[in-house]
Formats: sequence, C-alpha cells, structure tokens
Amino acid sequence: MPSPRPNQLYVIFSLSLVLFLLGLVGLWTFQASYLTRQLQENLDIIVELEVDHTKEQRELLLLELLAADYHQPGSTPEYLPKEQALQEMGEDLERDLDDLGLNNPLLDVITFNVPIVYLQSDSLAAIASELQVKPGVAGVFYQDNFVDRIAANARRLGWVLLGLAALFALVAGLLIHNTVRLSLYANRFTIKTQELVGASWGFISRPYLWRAVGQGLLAGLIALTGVLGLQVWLQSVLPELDLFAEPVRLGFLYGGILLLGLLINFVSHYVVVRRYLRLRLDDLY
Amino acid sequence: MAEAIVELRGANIQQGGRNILENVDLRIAPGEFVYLVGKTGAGKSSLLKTLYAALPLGGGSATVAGFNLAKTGRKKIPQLRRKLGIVFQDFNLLMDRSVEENLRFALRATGWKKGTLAEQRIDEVLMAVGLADRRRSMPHTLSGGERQRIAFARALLNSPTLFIADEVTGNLDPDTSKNILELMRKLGKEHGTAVLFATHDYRLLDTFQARVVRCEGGRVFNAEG
Ligand SMILES: Nc1ncnc2c1ncn2[C@@H]1O[C@H](COP(=O)(O)OP(=O)(O)O)[C@@H](O)[C@H]1O
Ligand SMILES: [Mg+2]
Repeated sequence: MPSPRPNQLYVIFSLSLVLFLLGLVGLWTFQASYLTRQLQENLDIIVELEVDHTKEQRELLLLELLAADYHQPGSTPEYLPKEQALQEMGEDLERDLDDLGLNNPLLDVITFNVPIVYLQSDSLAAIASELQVKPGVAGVFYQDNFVDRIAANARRLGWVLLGLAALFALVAGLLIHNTVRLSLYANRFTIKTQELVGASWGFISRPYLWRAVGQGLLAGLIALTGVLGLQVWLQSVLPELDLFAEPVRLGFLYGGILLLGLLINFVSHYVVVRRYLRLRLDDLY
Repeated sequence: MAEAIVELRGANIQQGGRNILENVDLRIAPGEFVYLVGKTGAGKSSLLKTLYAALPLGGGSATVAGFNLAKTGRKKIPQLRRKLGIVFQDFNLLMDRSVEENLRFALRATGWKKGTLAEQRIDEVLMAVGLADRRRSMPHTLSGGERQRIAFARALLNSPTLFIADEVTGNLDPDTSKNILELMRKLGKEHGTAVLFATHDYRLLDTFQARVVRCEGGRVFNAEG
C-alpha cells in the first residue's frame, strides 16, 4: 500500500507530541496533588491562648480538638508553652533570649493539623471563628490562601498543557485526515477494483486500520520514552520531587498513553476511510 | 419462465437527483445476451451503474440477481457485485502486478482463502478466455485485447449470473472488438451467464443477432436487433 512517506512521519510525530503533552498533564496532575498533599498535611493551625487561661481550659481545648471532625486523624494537637517557644526562637536566633531580662512577649499556643478537605479559606475561617469564642482562646492563626494558591497555580499549568495538547491534537487530526486521503487517492484504482469485484468496506479499510494501529503504538512508545526520560532527568536534578513515588498510578498513566495513541489513531483513520468510501465511487476520481 | 436476472419496472435512472432515464422497463432472462445501444450521453452507463448499485434507484422497482435494489443497503452491495461480472473500457488491470496477482487480488477481496482452490480457479478462468499461457505476464506486456480478456477472466472468477460490459471495446480496433464480443457470447453460453453489452458503436450489432435495447431521449426501448 504505497503512501507518501513524509506524511506518515508527520502523523507519527504529531501524535507522539499530543501523547507526550497528555502524559505531562497526567504526570503534573499526579505530582501536583502529591506535593500539595504533602504540604497541606504539614500546615499548622495555631491557637494562641490567653495569658490568664487555666490549665483546665487548656486541657479541655486539647480534648475538644482531638475529637473535632476537622482534626487530622492520626496527628495530635500539640501544646507549646511560651517558655519553650521562646527557647526555640532563641535557638533559631542563636541567642539566649532569657538573658535579655525582658518579659516573655509570647503566648502559650496549641497547634494542630486539619484534613485536606478543610484546607479551604472558608472552612478554615469557620474553624477559626468556632475556636475563637472558646474560653481561654486569644486568637487563631493560619496561613490563609496558601493552599488555594498552590492548587490554583497547579491547575493553571495543567490547563496550559492541556490546551497545548488540544492544539496538537487538532494538528494531528488534520495530518491524519490529509495523509489518509492522499493514501486513498494514491490507491484509488486498487480500491475501485476492490469495490467493483465485491469487496466489503471492512476488507478495503483493513490495511489502513492495521497501519493506524501500528502508527498509534509507535507514537505511544515515542511519547512514553519522552515522558520517562523527562521523569528520570527531573528526578536526578530534583530528587525531592519524589517522581516515582506512586508506581501504580504511573503504570496506569503509561498504559493510558499507549492505549490513547492507539485509540486516537484508529478512530481517526476509521472515520476518514469510511468518509471517503461513502463518497460516491466516481467522486474520488 | 425462469426467474429474470434483471427485472426493472417503471425504474428511474438518476444522476445527482436528475432523471437521466425515466420509467424504464427491462427484463433479462438467465443466459440471455442483450445489446444496450445509444449515443454517448444517452444514459447507458447510468443504467448499468444503477444495476450494480453504484447509483441509487430513483424510483420504480428493480431486481438484479435476486437483490431488490430499493432494499439493498450498503452492506449487501458487495454480495450483489459478487453475482455480477463487471467489465469496463477503463476498468482495467492493476498495472503494478502480474495477471495472476490481479486475479488473486480479486479472489482475496471476495473472501477466497489462499491455496490450491484459488489457484485452480485462476487456471480455469484463464483457460476460458484462452490466455492460460499469460498467467505470469505483466499487464503492460499484453495487447489491449488481451488485457480486456484478462478483465473478463477476472469478472468470471465468482461465476456471475450477469456480465455487465460497458464500452469494453472502446479502445480496440474493429477486428479485436468483434473477437471480444464473440468471446463474451461464448462465455455467456458456456457459463449460463446473461450479458448486458453496452456500446455506442452500432456497427458492432452486426457481429451476431441478439436482442437490442436502445437508450434514446430519456427512454429505454426494447426492440429486436
Ligand atoms: N457523475 C455524474 N454526475 C452528474 N451527471 C452525470 C454523471 N455522469 C454522467 N452524467 C450525465 O448523465 C447523462 C448520461 O450519461 P451516461 O450514463 O454516461 O451516458 P452514456 O454512458 O450513454 O454515454 C449525461 O447527460 C451525463 O452528463
Ligand atoms: Mg458510457
């Protein structure tokens, strides 16, 4: 089945690019959620206690926090007396602040973590106002927007990659359409002969569809090599990214890339071949 | 009377929604030889295309080789075509492969498995057209008449009930044309295949006596030739 060679290379190349970009989107989505989860789970909410709070108030608060549904299961709320806070601050500043002979300006605090679902501005605000009115509490602090900002940025980059992938998918679609059309045109006598002696459309399309499967797999493999190569390289420069932390998800991603390449190419070849076979025999010539 | 191979009643033959031939009545019996004549542009090719379902029937009823054309969907068309042996002036051989490869190509396209059965069939049809010794020849080494005979051999492969021949002598000199015509009649007789032989060349009608159907002024006339 003769067909213009360079066109087929363009098809494979553009399809690989689409799959590579989609692979990046997938990788980015996994990685962003993995990293933000890491960051989020370590976000402390700080409850400052009043100077004259009682031990009972404090312990009741600790118990309440432990039982609250906005408390991260598996972690424990921590009480940090102001003396310890001052000492830790001193260690950070490499000076003994006690020696200054000042009054300790800090307050006793309790810190705790919340599950990821509560890490949104409005949920956090609700938690804060609930705690605010409890006896012995002076104030509640957390880094607002921190989470939202990370998530928004991650999403934005994801969309940009997805947009690029869509653009290249369009290019790939046009190239596939054009290549198949040229190939059908180059084989028009063969096809006409097949139709007139009584070949089914299935028989006529079969070589094109097989080629589509081969090309799709090849493009998938190229894209996969690109994604893997990038991952290996990034991992070697930025080991803290933990790029291979979730092998099962990665496996699905790799499999998805291969399958998608095969599917995209098969379906678009199928559509184009059928379209041209449906045109009246004469119109092709 | 045996069931007709072709049975048109009040059929309309259309090109792009325009009636080319109206209210066509045509009946061809098994094994019958029929000349289809008419000037260029009279609608002969359109009529034949309708018979092999390359043009949709514009109205009326039509049965070809047991297929009701009005109800023959896209999926059934290959089955219909396997009952027909279609030969054109320009429906020639694929030039990039030998005679036997051309024939194998047609066999495979119509569901034959590779093997001795297929090879036997190729021998048979080549024998029938008197070109058994050209099995391995490339088409460009054959004369125009020989190529057309190979095209007949290809049309014979699936033992059709009707030959549809459209200007098959268009490129041939008068003597070769007559030989081809004789061959068609002989093949029809030997295989019990009806023949619908379309030509604009009225001189060919002298080759032998047979029924003549004429296309003229948008109508089809049955007349004895
Ligand atoms: N593909 C086509 N589209 C539209 N009109 C066509 C087409 N082919 C033929 N015609 C018209 O149909 C009429 C009959 O043509 P045709 O069947 O080829 O006649 P013939 O075979 O007798 O020479 C002509 O007027 C021709 O212009
Ligand atoms: Mg014609």
